[in-house]
Amino acid sequence: MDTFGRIGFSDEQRELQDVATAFCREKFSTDKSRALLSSEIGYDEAIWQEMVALGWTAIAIPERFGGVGLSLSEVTPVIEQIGRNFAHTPLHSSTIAAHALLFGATEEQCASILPKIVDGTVVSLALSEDDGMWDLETVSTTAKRDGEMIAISGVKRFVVDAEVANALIVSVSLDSAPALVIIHKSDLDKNALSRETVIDETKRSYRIRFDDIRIPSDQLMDIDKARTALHQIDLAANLLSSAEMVGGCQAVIDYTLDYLKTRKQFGKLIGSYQALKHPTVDAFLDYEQARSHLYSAAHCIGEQGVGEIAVRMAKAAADKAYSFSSDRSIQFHGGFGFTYDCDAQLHRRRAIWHASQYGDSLWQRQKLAQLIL
Amino acid sequence: MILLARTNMDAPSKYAGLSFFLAPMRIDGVETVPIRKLTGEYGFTQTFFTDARIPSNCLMGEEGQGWMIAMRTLEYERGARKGQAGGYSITERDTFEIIDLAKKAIRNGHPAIEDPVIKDKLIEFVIEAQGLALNAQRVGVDVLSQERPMALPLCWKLTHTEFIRRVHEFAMLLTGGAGAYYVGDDNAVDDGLWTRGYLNAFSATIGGGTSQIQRNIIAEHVLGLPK
Repeated sequence: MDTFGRIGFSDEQRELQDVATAFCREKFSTDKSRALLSSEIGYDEAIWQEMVALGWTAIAIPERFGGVGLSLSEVTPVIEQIGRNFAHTPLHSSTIAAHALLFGATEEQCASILPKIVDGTVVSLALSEDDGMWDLETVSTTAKRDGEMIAISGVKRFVVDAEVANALIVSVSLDSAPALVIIHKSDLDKNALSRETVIDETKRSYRIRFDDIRIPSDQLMDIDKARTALHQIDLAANLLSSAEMVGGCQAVIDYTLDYLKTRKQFGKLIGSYQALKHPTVDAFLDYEQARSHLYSAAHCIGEQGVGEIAVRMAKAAADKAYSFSSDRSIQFHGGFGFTYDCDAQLHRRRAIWHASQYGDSLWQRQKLAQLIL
Repeated sequence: MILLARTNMDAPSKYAGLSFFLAPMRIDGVETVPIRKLTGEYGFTQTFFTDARIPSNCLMGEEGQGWMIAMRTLEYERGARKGQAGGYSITERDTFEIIDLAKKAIRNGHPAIEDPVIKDKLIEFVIEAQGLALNAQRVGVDVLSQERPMALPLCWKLTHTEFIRRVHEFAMLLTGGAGAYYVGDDNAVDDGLWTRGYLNAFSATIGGGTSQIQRNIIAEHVLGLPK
């Protein structure tokens, strides 16, 4: 069904999949992620530097800005493997931020920030607000021109990796229209950031208060490209979330299978009972579809119209598959499933996190209804 | 007809004693009793053999290979596309037909598509139809199915037949009050074919190994769960 996207897999995607599969299996695991839960930044800085050295921060950045010149299609298998081994890294935020800059920033802004992202500088995005609008063009945070400066006021939530981020891409309302500004860490008030308690404990999420802070007007991104950039952020974020969820979905199904093949009850392996067997198959079928949707979205994201349909289908399918497989994983682990020690809860929590960000499956279907019907 | 018959009562196993024949039906000693399907139509028979004689060259393969040949035939049936009543695959055209139906069908006085709940369910079906089409494309990309290479082919029968059953059930729901009309009534939406299609869809969720057996096969052969 070409109308809604199709699968394609490039040699570069294949190469990155191979490298990422081996690297992530060696460096990440749920146990290692559990050990990082109480850490301040939530990831291992040394491993992050290795990822930078592998060139993963450069993948989707054009060569003229020091990147490799590929696209989000090639980042997708990397994020999938990170999700599969249940890690959190700033690659997610930085990749979306770089995409936002490419579509919405001036040439000078790109030239100043993108090479730093390649080198491992973390850049994140501050878009979500308390009204819960997933439509990114609806913004309450205000920007007002004041001579050569711009004054920003408002509150953003769910700003991931804000503590380690060197800069933030912030959506604002300027002259009653959506716009994007680049705010450097140094522009923020001392107490602007407060850590949020969120469902996926591997994520570092912050609430940021902009209390009439002043930034030079050259930090305003191209006003004419703001809507395009916001749309592209939406697509990129949902593609990468889908990748992390599909990877996680594979992991939680494998985790459940291990238990079903080893745990005995009433003298039999519990995996032999059809009451557990059949829903596990259903979870697997959902996963297979979600993975197919993911690689259609990764392939088609750059195509006008089809790209958005493919990405929204991928997010809807990934949310459904990851939520169901992790929900059943908790249940099928029985008493152990109710404990914090069982990894099923980690996955269920992560699925809830991704559903909440950039639109859950119900929202994606509402958008699809507008696009298709 | 394909006739699977026991040709050796003393074979070492119950499978080894079977042979596979392609046999004529209109001969003495063969009596058929039609079986009426749930749709109201005919298409199957119960067949009785009373000392019927068929030429020995009706044997396919070697004597005693019946089970193997039958399994091979069934494998084809399980994987067949459009190979039997109801069909196994869903095409892009089918998906757009459902969307068209939602636009024209009147449900409780209004076009079904105006109901936001209907709209949401419809999109769920479109996503699933697309997912199945993409699964088929992904089989061709070995690196995207290398960890469990048999998964997608073995899931095909289950996912498609169940999807077709559910999509026809949804189509009936779209027609609301008119859903009671059946094939033969002038007032039936699309000549009642969605309703008959729903009933016929069970031919594929039951025939060639029921969906429940298919789940056992996937669980044991793809996911490695114990019998």
